[in-house]
Amino acid sequence: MLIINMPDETSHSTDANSNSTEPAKSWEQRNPEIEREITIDEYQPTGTLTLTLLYFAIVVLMWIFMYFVEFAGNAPSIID
Amino acid sequence: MTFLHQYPKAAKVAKANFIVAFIALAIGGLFGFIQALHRTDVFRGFFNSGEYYTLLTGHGVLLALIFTTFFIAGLFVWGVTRSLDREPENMTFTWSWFWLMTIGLIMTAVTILGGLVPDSSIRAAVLYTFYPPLQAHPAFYIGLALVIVASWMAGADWFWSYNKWRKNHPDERIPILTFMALFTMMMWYVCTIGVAVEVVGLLIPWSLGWVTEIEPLLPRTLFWYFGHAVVYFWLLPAYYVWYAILPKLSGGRLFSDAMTRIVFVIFLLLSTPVGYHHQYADPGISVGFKFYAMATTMLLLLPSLMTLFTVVASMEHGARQRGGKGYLKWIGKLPWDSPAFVGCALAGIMFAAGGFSGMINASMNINLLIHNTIWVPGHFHLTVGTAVALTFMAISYWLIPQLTGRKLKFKTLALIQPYAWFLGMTLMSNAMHRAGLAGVPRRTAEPQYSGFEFEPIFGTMAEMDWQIAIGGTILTISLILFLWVITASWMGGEKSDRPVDDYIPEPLSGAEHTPKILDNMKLWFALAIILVLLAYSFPLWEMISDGIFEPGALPRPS
Repeated sequence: MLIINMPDETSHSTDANSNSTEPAKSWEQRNPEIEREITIDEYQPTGTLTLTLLYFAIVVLMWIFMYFVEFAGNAPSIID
Repeated sequence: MTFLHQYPKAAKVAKANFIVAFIALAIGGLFGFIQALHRTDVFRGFFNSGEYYTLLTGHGVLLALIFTTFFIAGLFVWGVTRSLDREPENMTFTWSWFWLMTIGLIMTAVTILGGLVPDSSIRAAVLYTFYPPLQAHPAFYIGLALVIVASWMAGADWFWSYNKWRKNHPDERIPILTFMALFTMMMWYVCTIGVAVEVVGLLIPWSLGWVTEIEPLLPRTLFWYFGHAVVYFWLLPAYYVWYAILPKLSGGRLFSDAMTRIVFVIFLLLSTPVGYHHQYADPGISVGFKFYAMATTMLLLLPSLMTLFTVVASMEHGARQRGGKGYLKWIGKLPWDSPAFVGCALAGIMFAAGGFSGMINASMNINLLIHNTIWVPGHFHLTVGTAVALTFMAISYWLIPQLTGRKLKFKTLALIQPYAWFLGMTLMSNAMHRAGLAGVPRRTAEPQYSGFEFEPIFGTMAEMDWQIAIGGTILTISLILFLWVITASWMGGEKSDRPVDDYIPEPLSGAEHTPKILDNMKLWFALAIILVLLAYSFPLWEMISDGIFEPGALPRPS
């Protein structure tokens, strides 16, 4: 696996200081909760695509609902 | 070593801002609870229906203007100081904007609370929008003007730090935490011109009795010139948290530095020339300009959808690094036991729902279906009331330990809090939306729907009232939990050199892949001004061409 030791935007941050003895380790390697480091080349955000499509589907359904509220389900509210 | 130990002066300023923000949140939230019980007729014993509008003003001003502005100031002090590695340049200047903002807030708050004192001449039941014909005590407007001027000084403070930093780092990219803060403030400068002109040029002279006549459309238009961009002034700091901090809380990295910068550039360009979409029902503004505002508003969906992608992709990256798999199963690997993460994530989900009702609001024709109904408060309780407020509360669980050097106490209560907010808001907001579809008005102490036949489109009036009252109660409990956890941690949390993991990893696709032109602040600021001039110069000229103080009508019924 390709491991890039990326420069830290906050290179002066507390974390960088406290880890100055082991500068070669990336954040992922230092974090016990992280099982594996995924680089940008390996990463395929398929879950994001799934969620986005679900959201668009919900929005379309809501628009259809609004259509019935506004035009199809009601008599003209002002004239009525 | 955490922020407090590295930047003790900035930590003190940030803490002062957060204290004021949380006091405003406590009072404004309490007012919201009373309103939820009052207008649903569950309990009307606290105040009478006249005083309801004072509470409503207090709720809107203290939460939407004061809580947000002070919290944002604290957040940006933290972010700019940290990412530029500089304490504020001159502490006298920094404290002077803080105290000026606080004095302004106190003046405004006193005039509002005066409305609860019997026979008081000091009152300001003018609602959060405060334009004529409703009139407040002059101190209300002067206080607001001071808050705005002080916020300009705060922005200048951050630009000052940036300029000093730039001298020592001529070729570096603007650090992302500072970039987002500065672009938010540039947007704030563009949009607050409108409200400053309205308050100083029209409302203060009018409330002092120096002038008696104002073109009624002019202050409304100037308010909404500011009044929609201000929602992005609340929202962009929530985005700030979602882009900069949430990916790390999820166990991953920000997906793309370039996407982040593009989103903030688009918000600077498009946030202000959209104000007419609050005035679709106003006569006196041509439909062409309203259409321009609608198109611009719809374009603003783009950066929010880009945010949806970037933030969710960053969270998914974190979940997969934590061992997540599948199309949706990875969601279970996110840290759903971390209060800061949970609050931000649930806030994001609520914002997606608010995005839908926002599209309805922005559409020129369908807007008339829900205009001035309780649908609109339903919408903005999802956006500012959850996407922004819940994000601010959640990130406090991560920021306050850095600023106080104390660990968070009562973590279980802190974890229950965002879930409770989500539940309460789901109940309250869905009922508000549906009631609005049925035509139930907003800003009404006693909307009465009994004693005659009235069938809402979806559900019953009694059920919706109960959902609003119960939802409001759960939200209040959640707010009390938040204030309790923060106060207890602040006063009595265990002292630690490193109370929280405050490291922010670099983005997956870093600034080296970001086009340099995105950092050209002068270019984007100039374009923003041009778009504003296109939208506003002609209609404003029409409104004032017969004389600013010589209108065809009084600002109130004569």
